Amino acid sequence: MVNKDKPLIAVTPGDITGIGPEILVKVIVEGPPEACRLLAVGDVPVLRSSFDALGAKFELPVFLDIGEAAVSDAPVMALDLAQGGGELLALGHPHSEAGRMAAKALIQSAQWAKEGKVDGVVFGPLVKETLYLGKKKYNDETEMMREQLEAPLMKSVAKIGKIFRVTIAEHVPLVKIPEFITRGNILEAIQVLQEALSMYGVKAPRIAVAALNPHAGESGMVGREEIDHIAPAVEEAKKKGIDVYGPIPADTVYVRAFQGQYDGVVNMYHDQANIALKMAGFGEIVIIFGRAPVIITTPSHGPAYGKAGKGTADPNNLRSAIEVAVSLARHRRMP
Amino acid sequence: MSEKEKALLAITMGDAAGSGPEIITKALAEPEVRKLCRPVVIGDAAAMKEAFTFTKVAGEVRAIDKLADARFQDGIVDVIDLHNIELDKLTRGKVDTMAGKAAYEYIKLGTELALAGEADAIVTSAINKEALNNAGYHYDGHTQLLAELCGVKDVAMMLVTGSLRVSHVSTHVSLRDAIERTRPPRILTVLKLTEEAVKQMGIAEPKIAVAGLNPHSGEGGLFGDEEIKYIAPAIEQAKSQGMNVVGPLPPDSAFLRAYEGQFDAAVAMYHDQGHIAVKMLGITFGVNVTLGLPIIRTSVDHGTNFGKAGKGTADPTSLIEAIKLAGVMVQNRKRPTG
Repeated sequence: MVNKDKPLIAVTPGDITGIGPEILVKVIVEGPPEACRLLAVGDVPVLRSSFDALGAKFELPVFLDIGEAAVSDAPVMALDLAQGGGELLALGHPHSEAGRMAAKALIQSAQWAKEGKVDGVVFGPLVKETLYLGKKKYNDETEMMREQLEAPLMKSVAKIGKIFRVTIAEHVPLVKIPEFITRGNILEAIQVLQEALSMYGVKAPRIAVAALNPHAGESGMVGREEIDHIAPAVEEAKKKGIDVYGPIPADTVYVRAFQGQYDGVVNMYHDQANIALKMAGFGEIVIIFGRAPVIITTPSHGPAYGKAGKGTADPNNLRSAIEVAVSLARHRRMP
Repeated sequence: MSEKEKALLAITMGDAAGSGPEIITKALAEPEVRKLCRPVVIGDAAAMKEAFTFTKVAGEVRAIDKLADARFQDGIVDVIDLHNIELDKLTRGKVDTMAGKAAYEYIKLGTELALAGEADAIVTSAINKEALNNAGYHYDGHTQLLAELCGVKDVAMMLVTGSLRVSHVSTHVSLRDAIERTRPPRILTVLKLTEEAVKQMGIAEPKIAVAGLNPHSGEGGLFGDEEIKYIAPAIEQAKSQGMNVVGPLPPDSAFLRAYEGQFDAAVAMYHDQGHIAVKMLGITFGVNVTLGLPIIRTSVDHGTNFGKAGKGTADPTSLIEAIKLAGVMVQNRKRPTG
């Protein structure tokens, strides 16, 4: 395969006052995944100062026009958005200007993906607090992308090792969780998982749906959500031909998933998944955006302001996010 | 340790249709178990004899009528024989009402012996809740049954897996009910029971973590306020009573930090919060301890394993660990370390 036939993955540094530029440059210096062409999208002076800080030489071909980058044979290149001034922002603190630049780079890259000029987008860590696009403030990146990419059904899927996961309601008080446990929400989550896994090339994915109550409600003795909402959603998904299991008691669903019984897990709430994953030693999660018109992934960590500029940030989660985007792009090309 | 100093443990046979009897033959053949305790099985002698034929463990059963007749010889399992299993009527591997009734009777006698001080502790094998209910005993499991037999109300479940000890503010209730039970009096009770149990497990000055209820422990009220309204005040009360308690911690790090040795125990706010953490470590060597009873009670942390019944292949690790832990707790109760 000649280089220019490899998928072109646009990678943004995310919030440039955090560790984003550093981890992006580290991925480039250490050698990005060979199965893709990597296009660093952002302001070149910012990238340059990260190269300098790491004692590496900036030798990337720089483009101003996406059309030219798209047909380039270079394994790694930069596209200069030339927003200006980013290199002057103090590292280590959120800054509204950095937030704007991060949002712009992400949305611009996603637009190019929609136009078929790049094959996938990976964005570096950013924070909700500074997520502005022009003057408009968004609550989170999903909300921003849903609107900007006209993809209202977009939903984030987490990839942990080989397991894909969708959580019904993540950052809400536990007492509100039962309100989200509806047949519609659960069926949607099952379908999003099925689609993401299929896109990733997993044939006939096996999906587990976790229960809400202990012992999966024990036939209604300790909670009825399983009977009223979860089991009917599972039945409906089965009728649609999805290989789905559940409701599975939450205290064994990940034990079984990690033993290889399932490819995907639908979780009801945040800690159902996170306690299991932390105990299993999984620090690294890649976020994939399901039901998006284009391939978009991101590492799960934040901009780690406290580490910015120290040269100690770990680029591996970003690297994994790029690898996942490459796999998705290759499967999309050759299903 | 002289023979008399060894803990006398009443081991209930559990559900005869499951793997309990087979597991007992394996566990009691372990030299480390015999070194640590004087075990007596409360069960059905014929069922125990048959279990030996399944597991091919070298050993035999001596049926006795009362505890005083036990001789605790290596290779011989003393069984207080309640004659309550008719083997030819037992449906192995399935819910069996006779086995459910029998299982209840073992627990009842075991508890009575422990309450009377004849046994130092009770170690229970797995029972089947449906069989128990079919037999007319309507309990949601061992814990509720034991609390009633002992005449106490404030009990709590602790799971012990290796270095991780997790006790629970609530267990067998819906998530909605569990949230309502996270109130200061109950949390404080569970903290006290936890500290007491950990001391009995040999740790003189326990340091205890308390998990929050909500994601990120509520993140300052953003994702729920039970931490602010109920959990933090309970922790303050515990501290003012001299306990070394830390929290509320984000649930997804509290148990990991306890497992890593930063705490001697962690308190979970609801069943799955604690169980998810413990079961990720592997359930084969987990032990279930009931806190708040006037007696020491440990248990296997697995079900009746109907699928393996009669095959001789069930894993005895959890029972061995439950016996060892009961032994340790009995020794520390006899010789309190302060």
